[in-house]
Amino acid sequence: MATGSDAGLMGMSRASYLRLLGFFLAPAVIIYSVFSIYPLLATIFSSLYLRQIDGTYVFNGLGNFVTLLTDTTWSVSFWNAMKNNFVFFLIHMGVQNPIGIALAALLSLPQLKFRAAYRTLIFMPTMLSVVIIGFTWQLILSPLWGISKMLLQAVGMGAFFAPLLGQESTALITVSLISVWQFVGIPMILIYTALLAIPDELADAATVDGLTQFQTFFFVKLPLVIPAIGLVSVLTFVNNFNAFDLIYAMKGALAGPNFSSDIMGTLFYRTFFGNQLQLGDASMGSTIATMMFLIILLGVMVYLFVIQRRIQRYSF
Amino acid sequence: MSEVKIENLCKAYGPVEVLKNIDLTVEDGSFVVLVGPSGCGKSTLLRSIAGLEPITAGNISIGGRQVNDLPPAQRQIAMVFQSYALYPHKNVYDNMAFGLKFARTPKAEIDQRVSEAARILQLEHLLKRRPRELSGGQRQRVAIGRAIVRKPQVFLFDEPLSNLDAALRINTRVEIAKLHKLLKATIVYVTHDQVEAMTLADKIVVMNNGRVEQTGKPLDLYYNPANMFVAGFIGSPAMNFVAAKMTQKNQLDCGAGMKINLPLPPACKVGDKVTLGCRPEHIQFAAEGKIQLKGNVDILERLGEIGYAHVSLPNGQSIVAQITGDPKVGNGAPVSLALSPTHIHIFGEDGSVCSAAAR
Ligand SMILES: Nc1ncnc2c1ncn2[C@@H]1O[C@H](COP(=O)(O)OP(=O)(O)OP(=O)(O)O)[C@@H](O)[C@H]1O
Ligand SMILES: [Mg+2]
Repeated sequence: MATGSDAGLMGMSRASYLRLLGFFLAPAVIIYSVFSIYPLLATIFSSLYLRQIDGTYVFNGLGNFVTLLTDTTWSVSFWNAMKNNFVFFLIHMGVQNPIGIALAALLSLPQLKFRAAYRTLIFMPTMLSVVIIGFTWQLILSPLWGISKMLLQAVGMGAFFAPLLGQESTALITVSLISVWQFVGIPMILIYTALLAIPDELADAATVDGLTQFQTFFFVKLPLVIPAIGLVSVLTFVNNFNAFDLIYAMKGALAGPNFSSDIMGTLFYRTFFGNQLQLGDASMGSTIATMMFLIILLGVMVYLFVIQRRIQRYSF
Repeated sequence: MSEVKIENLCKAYGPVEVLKNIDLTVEDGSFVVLVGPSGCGKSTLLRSIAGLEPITAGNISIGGRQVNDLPPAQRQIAMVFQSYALYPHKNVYDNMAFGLKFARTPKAEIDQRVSEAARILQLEHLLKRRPRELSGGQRQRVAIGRAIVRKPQVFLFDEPLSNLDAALRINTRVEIAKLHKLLKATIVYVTHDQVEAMTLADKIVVMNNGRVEQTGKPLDLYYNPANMFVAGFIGSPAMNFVAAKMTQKNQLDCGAGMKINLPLPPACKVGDKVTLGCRPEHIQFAAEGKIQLKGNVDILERLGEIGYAHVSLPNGQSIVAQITGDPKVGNGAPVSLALSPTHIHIFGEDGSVCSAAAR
């Protein structure tokens, strides 16, 4: 406060000013501490202990991390999950976001009819439960009674049918694409909103300058929504490295076949809570959770300090 | 030859007719200003000429060529928008060169045209800046520069000065007038501002409700408005209107015992309800003169050299008279007003003028 050392806000005594401050800050501080900061610190703390055979824990320093990254009993699964998670992310970046941008561009076409209907329909899967999505797609893709097989056969392409979810080579890509299908509404809406903020006169100016609608989008509007695209990318990154539910719903905790769709979330789940013959290990689970936290932190920091600083923001 | 000819132009958004049977010719090299109240269709007309709005019916030709179905870029027009609509991610040079690049103009020619425009508009030292690093007036000049480099047959301006502050607006107005002389360009210009319209225009088009109310030279509209709308719209403060009835040949009764003797146009018959119009600048405080009205001063607005007196007449109407100097009258004081007989307009019941004013 600029009002001198012993006077608080508007002539309040210092003590009652601090009380007032505390009153307004306390709810946020308490909620964040209990639900965010404490669990985070507890996780990191617990990753520093080693689980003994008898179920007790002893302090182990950074030993768990060394084990996770180098000891083949752990590191093979870890690096596999990490690689799969990057594939998962790259498929979202390469498929979901470009399609989202294209859909947003189409939605913002002035001559488009039934705009609200399209927007709602495309956004619909995002609002559905992941369990329903997973179950539905499992039925669609099922080699036994799935409609996809019949559809392909009906158009004479039955030979192209494959048990996409059951092959090691295709399971991860298939699950990723289902996730893309489910969440494509989010980049679409975010970029559509950014496109709406661009004044119509700018598009008119480009039209007078002789640009086609496509060129106007590509050379005028797209450069102006790059901040929104950056935001979408970082959100995608965070969501993808926290992903768990769709894989669990479709492929179970084992993320088969043969761990080919295993990502960080499912690996963490098996490790922390245990699965079938594997016993739950809270400290190794915490180690994986901490690694996930560090990866996301790194990604977000790269975005904040490297990418976002180079992005120009425009006000109209 | 870059005449713009508009014939019977109609434009409707669904059932809403926004432009109704517009006929307008913009002569080669002339400066035509569209004025009218908000929502009367000025921008829509301008955008129709530009080709940004499809038209419902009618004909538009530019330089003798029918352009109804041509896209904006092929109409040989350039448009300056109210918000300037500069590309925020491009610097001044690229803003001006953008359209030329898409038209595959050779690099050397782009350079030459841009630097020519930059020279005319004194933007040479700003070519590397982004729009947000420019002041409002500089952005305005870039927008005009972007129009100039296209070498269009017709320039279209939509309220280009309305985002500038008062002083800059006057400056830029003068600049635009000079530019018009320099480029010998055909210009269609939309504005709200009377002064802009009066000072810039070779011809003013007054629009109301999607129709052209009157077209003419600025002073023609001022002295000979065709109807009450134009009379009230052109001139500031607005023309006074007093409802009256013709009770005898050459006599008007304005109610409450106010009778005026005035040679009336032959079109008026005894018993007609008419409206008498007279501008504040043609009404003075004076006890003598052929046409007199009496009333009480409500309020005096002194602006310095001149001022305006709001006077309520016995019939309850209020009129504004221009005063010069500082008449020593208090509020509520009775005054006599003298109306200049040569500047009185008589409008019929339908609002159109009953032939020329009595003079
Ligand atoms: N896309 C549209 N759909 C329906 N009506 C419209 C549309 N665009 C404009 N109008 C209507 O057309 C009329 C004319 O609009 P226009 O923008 O030409 O007015 P203007 O004279 O330029 O007004 P201003 O001085 O406020 O800029 C207005 O009544 C407006 O409501
Ligand atoms: Mg307008």
